[in-house]
Amino acid sequence: MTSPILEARGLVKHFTLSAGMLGTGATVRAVDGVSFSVEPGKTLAIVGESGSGKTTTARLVLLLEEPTGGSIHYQGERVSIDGDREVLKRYRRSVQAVFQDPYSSLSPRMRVKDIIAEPLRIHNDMSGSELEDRVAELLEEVGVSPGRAKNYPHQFSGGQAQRIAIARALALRPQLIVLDEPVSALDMSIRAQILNLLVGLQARFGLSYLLISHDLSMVEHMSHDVGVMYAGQLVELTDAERLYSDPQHPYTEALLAAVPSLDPDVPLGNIVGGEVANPANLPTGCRFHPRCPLRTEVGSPPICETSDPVTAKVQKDSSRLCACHFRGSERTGTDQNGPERSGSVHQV
Amino acid sequence: MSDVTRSSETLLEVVDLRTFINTRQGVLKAVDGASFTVRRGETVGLVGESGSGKTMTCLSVMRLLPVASAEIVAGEVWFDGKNLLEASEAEMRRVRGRDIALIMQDALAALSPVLSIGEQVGEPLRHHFSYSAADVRRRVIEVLDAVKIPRPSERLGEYPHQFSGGMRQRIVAAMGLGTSPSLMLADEPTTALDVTIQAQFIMLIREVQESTGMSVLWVTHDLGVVAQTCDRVNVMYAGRVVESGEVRRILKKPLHPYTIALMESVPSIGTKREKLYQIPGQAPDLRNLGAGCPFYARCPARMDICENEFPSATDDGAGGFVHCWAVSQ
Repeated sequence: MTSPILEARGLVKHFTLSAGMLGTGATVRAVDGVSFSVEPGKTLAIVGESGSGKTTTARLVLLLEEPTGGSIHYQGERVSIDGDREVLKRYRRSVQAVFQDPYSSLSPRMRVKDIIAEPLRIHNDMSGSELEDRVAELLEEVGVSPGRAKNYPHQFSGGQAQRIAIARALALRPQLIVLDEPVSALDMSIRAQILNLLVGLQARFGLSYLLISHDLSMVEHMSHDVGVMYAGQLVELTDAERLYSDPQHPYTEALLAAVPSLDPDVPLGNIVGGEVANPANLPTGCRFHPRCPLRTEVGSPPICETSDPVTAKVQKDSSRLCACHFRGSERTGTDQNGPERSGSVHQV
Repeated sequence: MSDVTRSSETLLEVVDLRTFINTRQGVLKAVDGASFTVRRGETVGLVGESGSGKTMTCLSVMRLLPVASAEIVAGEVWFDGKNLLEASEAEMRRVRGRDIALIMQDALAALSPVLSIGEQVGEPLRHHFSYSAADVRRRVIEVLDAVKIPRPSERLGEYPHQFSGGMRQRIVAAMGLGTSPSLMLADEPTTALDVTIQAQFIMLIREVQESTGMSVLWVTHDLGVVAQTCDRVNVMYAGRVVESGEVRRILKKPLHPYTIALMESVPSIGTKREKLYQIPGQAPDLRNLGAGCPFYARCPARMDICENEFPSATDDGAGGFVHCWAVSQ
């Protein structure tokens, strides 16, 4: 097994609400103990609904937020905003990002050629014809005519502008790209173009992707591994094939059941009620327990309300996880309140 | 209103609707000859990408065009036996919000931040009916309860920001449902919602339809939502309905190359594809449409005739139609 290119270990990010209008000064637990690793040349997707903490996780990985706890390791080395300068510099070059809306991630006042040239000027001291050639090459790689390098972002369609954002991300030949909802702002017929481009670039340059998305169909198409986030925690993490064919966590099941099938004869599955947990006022125990159909099925045992399965089931091997007291066979936590094995569920 | 003997009748019939917008760069043909029908109790989809004319079609039906430069230049909109395009403004005010409800994608924009939800849900009732304050309150509670807002009698004094996104969209639905409209125009009502909340909303509208017989024109770009909500579907491209038919026929055996391409380009759970089909190019400039098929430049099945002549409708043999030379020949 190869060593991961990126590892997140127990990432935590808490925000404190100002004690102003809302009056509470409450703590928002946006990300609460998230561990995962991205393998070289592979795509790890983090899926979740709004408020699940997936975007905050991406921002932590990009060092745009300082974590409240936990750490990020790149090729075995720890990276942090106030860490070793040289390590940080290498990290910033090797890890790039593509965001949802190209019109807000690209400066409206810069020409496309300057947008793409900027990282090359700063990091590689490139200039003159060498720089121009490289910009043209990058535009060709993403399928934009180099003849349009003099134009501004608003002169391009959404799909073309997103290609330019991808060219900028590729400029420094990164190894990992964080894709935060890369096609959500685009029209249906344009999405496939961008997804195919990303898959092609991954194969060509051996890129690793950390893909952040709410779109489960797109994630299945794009990813090797998938982590499902709920209320700041990863509740299930496994390879894509297993996640979609044999989901373990009841929240993953609920998410998949809610995705409308393209086949009118396949009705929506069991719909979970209730709302996504409020990260400023989380339920005790398992954060999904107020909405959990499995909990009702097993007779509403107290453990779901008293013990957090994510803490109880933290594993050495962070490549596979199911944070549920009643699901997943690889229990390593020792929780005396819980049943010994998932097999005993039905006796509860 | 739901008279059993009339249940299969057409409630809304849009005929050759054309809505143009005058821009500095020329006339933009937002809706360019759209025709479709909605029967009583039925859910009909209007599917297309941005710029295909879905929203402008809805707004034209309501005669609520967003800008002074937009104009309905031709067509008929028959609703319950009356051509709304010939109705007076006073008549339209009686139709809007009473017989036809409109709900939009962005619930936060549709709700006033400074009025309680009770006042907002009650507004159409006060406007359209001579209800007493107590009657309005009773009906508001009833409707909020129907859209599953917990403890409605306690919460109707609260403001939109005190509710979650999913609840806000249900409150917007409640604003439309209070008057028991016979038709709801739902313009991307679930696009801004999370997937579990979207599923709840889809089930909610279905329940309302089952109990009231309301028809829904469901505007969306999401083919999965279409599959789960609609009886029939109209696929729009560049301001026209290029294909129309029963939902199973359209999704399982699409005929128009654009519909086929859309189906092939969308990732779908359980159908792993190496590569998604990608529709080349971009949607056409609506200020510069030729006489031919607007999909011509991107179409894998195009022929010479397609460039200069828009095909008339071909019957799909199951009550629907498709505009395509490759199918008709």
